[in-house]
Amino acid sequence: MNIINRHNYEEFFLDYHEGNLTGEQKAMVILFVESNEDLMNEFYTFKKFSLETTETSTIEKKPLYSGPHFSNRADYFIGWIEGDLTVEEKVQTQELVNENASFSKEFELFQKTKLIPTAEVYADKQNLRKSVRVIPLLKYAVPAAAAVVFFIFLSNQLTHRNYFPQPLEVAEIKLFNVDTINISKTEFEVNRISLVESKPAVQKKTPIKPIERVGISPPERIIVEVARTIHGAGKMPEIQINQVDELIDEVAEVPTLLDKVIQTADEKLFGTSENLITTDPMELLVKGIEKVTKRDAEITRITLENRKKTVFKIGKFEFSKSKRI
Amino acid sequence: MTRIEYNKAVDLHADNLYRFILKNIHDVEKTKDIVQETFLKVWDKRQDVAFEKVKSYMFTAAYRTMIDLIRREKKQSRMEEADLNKLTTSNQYSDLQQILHEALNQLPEIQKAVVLLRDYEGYNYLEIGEITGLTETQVKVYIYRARKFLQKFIGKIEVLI
Repeated sequence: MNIINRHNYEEFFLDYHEGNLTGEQKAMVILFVESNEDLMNEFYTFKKFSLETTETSTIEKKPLYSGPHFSNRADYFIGWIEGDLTVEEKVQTQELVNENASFSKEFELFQKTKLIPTAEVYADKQNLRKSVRVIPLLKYAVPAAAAVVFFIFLSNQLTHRNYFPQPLEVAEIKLFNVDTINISKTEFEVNRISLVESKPAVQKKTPIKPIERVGISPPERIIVEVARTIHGAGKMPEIQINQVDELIDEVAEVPTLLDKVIQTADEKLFGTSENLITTDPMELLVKGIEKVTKRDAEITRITLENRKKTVFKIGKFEFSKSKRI
Repeated sequence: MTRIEYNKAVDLHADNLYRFILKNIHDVEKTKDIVQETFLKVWDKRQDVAFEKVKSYMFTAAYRTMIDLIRREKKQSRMEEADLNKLTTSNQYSDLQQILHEALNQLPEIQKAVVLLRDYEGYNYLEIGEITGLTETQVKVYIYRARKFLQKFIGKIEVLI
């Protein structure tokens, strides 16, 4: 007899109920019915065709009960390794294995049917990957780079235009304050007001138009006197402390110093003194700075208990000097 | 799915897909073709396929391509039951896995596929059904039948050895 399948099962069903099958064939039919649940009702239908009374039916009812037994043990063994069994079914299966030593080997063989994954490597993986397309982007990259360069250039230009309306190299203005000249030579040097605004770091290779350098030298008479002394002696004079004091004294006696400052500021910075409403050299200086830098400058004078402080503020630059009063 | 996710899918699943097809058809060049074709499909459909679902999508596409190939080459001679009486064996086995793979090659294509998806990729019955176009019950039946065949094959080999 052949192996039961879906094309010939009717014959087996009939023979089963008529008692024409061997024990092995019966087990095969039961397994088939369990594996093909849709034929279960048909299996029982065949029972009605039997002429035998149901009282003497040779059907083995136990295999149709739930739970593992001799005929369906393979399904439970497989269910075990597939993780399909409930806890109760596992216990029943284990009991079945324990009760029948021959089932233990069978159960062990089923556990060996699990495949262990092998390490296969697909060598052309890199060809499957999708990278960013370079060539089409180049047509955008070049203009983009050019735009960036142009923007930097323009930004540089605008920066200079906004923050440095007048190209600055060095603005140096020396002013001899008549109030300090009588003190000493050291203080004479120290108290001169020097404003030096160096080139900002951000200003690089832009061509710069040098601004006017305003310098007010010591009174000419001092220089003339020194020159006369040198000429008369025929050698480099050794200037003694008392001579310095004499020179300072002489400077102090120069009445035109303030006038010279105003005149110089007028000529060098403004060209005319008509628009000047003050003769204060400090304020003249501030106005001169504003004129040159085109930036607001302010002067603040603070009188403390024993000192007088003068502060110039030009943009972010601040200068101050103070003297004892 | 983004390009980055697609590339990640290549890194994560290309080897597994290659192994699955290779174990089924045992032809390196044809396996490579199927893998490449599958990833082309994935790339074309990347807008519709979420990264989380891409593995299942790839295995489904690859399986169908493989079945089409098998049918074209008329290799689908045994789609139902393996016949233990006709099994061929070799006495040159070094280990159990080698024996198992020998047995696997004698299974019908569908049983081989579902067992590989089950054991190699860890898919459940429902997922295997979605890949192979079978119902969950059919997948379970095929797996059970395959296990019985493999178990008997191993037992028979052990007796021979």
